[in-house]
Amino acid sequence: MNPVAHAYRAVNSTLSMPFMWIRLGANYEGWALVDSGAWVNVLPYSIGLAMGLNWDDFPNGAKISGAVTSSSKEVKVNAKIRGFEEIELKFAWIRHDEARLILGHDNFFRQFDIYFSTVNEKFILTQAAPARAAGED
Amino acid sequence: MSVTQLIETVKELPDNEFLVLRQAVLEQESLRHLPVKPEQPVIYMDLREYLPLPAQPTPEELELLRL
Repeated sequence: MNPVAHAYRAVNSTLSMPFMWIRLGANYEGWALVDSGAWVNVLPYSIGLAMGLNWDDFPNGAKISGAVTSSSKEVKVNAKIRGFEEIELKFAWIRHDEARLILGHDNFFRQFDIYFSTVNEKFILTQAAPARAAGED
Repeated sequence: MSVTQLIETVKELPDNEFLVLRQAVLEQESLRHLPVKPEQPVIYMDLREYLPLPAQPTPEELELLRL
């Protein structure tokens, strides 16, 4: 799979961040932060609702704690980003709306090798090859 | 006897018998090592709630972003 470059996006007059446009499920599109400091993918509550998800339909996930604390549900969602086929992402759907849609190590960074060029304000995604099954040559 | 039946039986015990039972249970060394149901794990991370979002793309930009 060929590498695909995405530009950093200005969030104010002095700062650009690695935000990427993403489609989740069939009916949500928006900006997601590609966050190398994030442990998991995070789905804010209202985005899950906009996708038609029902909180009670999903198993409990980890408690997310920091400046904001929230319980979470484990949700798997089909996602489409520019330059790649649809993939399945696992999210911690939190009961909180102030958070950003975050793509973190578990499991976005396991699906892509990502090179951040902060000077050039771009990041380059290369889809990771599927892991080999045990015992495979 | 199911756990539910056991609980109901214990609930019916007179207070003095309940206290004797409770003490007997506490004295059972083997029961102190029963596994405890694990709590949900806690993930400490920054949810970037203070970070502004980029501007909404124009329709022309949106077409490019969706490719």
